Amino acid sequence: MSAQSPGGRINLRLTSVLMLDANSQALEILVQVLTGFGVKAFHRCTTVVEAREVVERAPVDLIIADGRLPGIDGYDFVRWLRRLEQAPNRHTPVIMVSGHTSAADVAKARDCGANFFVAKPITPGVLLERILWVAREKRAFIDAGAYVGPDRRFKNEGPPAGVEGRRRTDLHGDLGAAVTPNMSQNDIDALMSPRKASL
Amino acid sequence: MSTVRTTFPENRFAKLARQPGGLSLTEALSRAQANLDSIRDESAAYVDARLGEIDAALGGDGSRVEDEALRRAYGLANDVVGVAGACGLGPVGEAAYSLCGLLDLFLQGQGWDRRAVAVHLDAFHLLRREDDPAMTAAVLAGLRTVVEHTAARQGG
Repeated sequence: MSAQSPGGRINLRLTSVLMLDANSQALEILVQVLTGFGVKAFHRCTTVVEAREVVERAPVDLIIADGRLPGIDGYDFVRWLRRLEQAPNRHTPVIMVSGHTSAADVAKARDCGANFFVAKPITPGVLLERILWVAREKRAFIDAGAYVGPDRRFKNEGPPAGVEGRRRTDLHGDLGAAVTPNMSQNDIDALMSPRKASL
Repeated sequence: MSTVRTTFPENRFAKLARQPGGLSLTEALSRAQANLDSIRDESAAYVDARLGEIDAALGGDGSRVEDEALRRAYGLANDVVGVAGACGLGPVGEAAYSLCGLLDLFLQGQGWDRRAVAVHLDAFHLLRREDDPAMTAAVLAGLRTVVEHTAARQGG
């Protein structure tokens, strides 16, 4: 279901969203977009200190945070959040928003433990799409010491050849050689093309 | 090898968002856009104020600006990136993004190129009042080239 698909619905009336951005106007833009999506409960934070107070005090259903903030940045906030001893906010989905990401911050962004990223400027279509992704999120939560957050591997194609997999779900065994020739493009097309059925 | 713990915590947001009622996606998008339009002038004024501050931080006698002022200008340009697109000033936002890339190069490599900065400041003024798509595209392409050349010169 994409944000453009006309049939879908979303109900954000009972969700609470924490927004963290030092830029007051960007925060206002986010509020307007989320209000349009039906969100009623907001926590507006312009510093990490404020955001920490909120997540330590009350459960929050979604966090939208800018990575670049003066002092403690948004990436460090998410890194801290993912290491909180007490649930539930430790696992709260985080959408990071960012304008330009400096070369120095790219690795921090990758490793902070956010669920998804959105490039500024925020547009309603892209933000709604990411929110729908969060609503469908089924990735495992990984605590590996150095990294804590949602599994960054979106695709599971198994461990590389000759490497023992570390996931419980990794399949083991050798693939046999193909016993028949590859299908031709015509054969594949024939599988896909609709045919009239006579009943 | 470190110990890896894998869990599947409840996604409370997903549970709430799937409750009956709510809005159709089309309606949610159109309400959000209407709300954005209602603060269009306020956002444009914010962009203009930040552009003025960028001019003040980077305009000068042409000698290399101190790192602190570069970082301030980088932050201001990033603020413009976050707001300009939401009030119909997308090209200004793209030019601000380009300036962020340029200033980041200077901050990483201790470099400086007065002309590369000046062309961005001029572009802001032009793009703020220009709505010819061909002209806008040409200006933005020129800015990208300037940043690429600066990166190549700095070995970035």
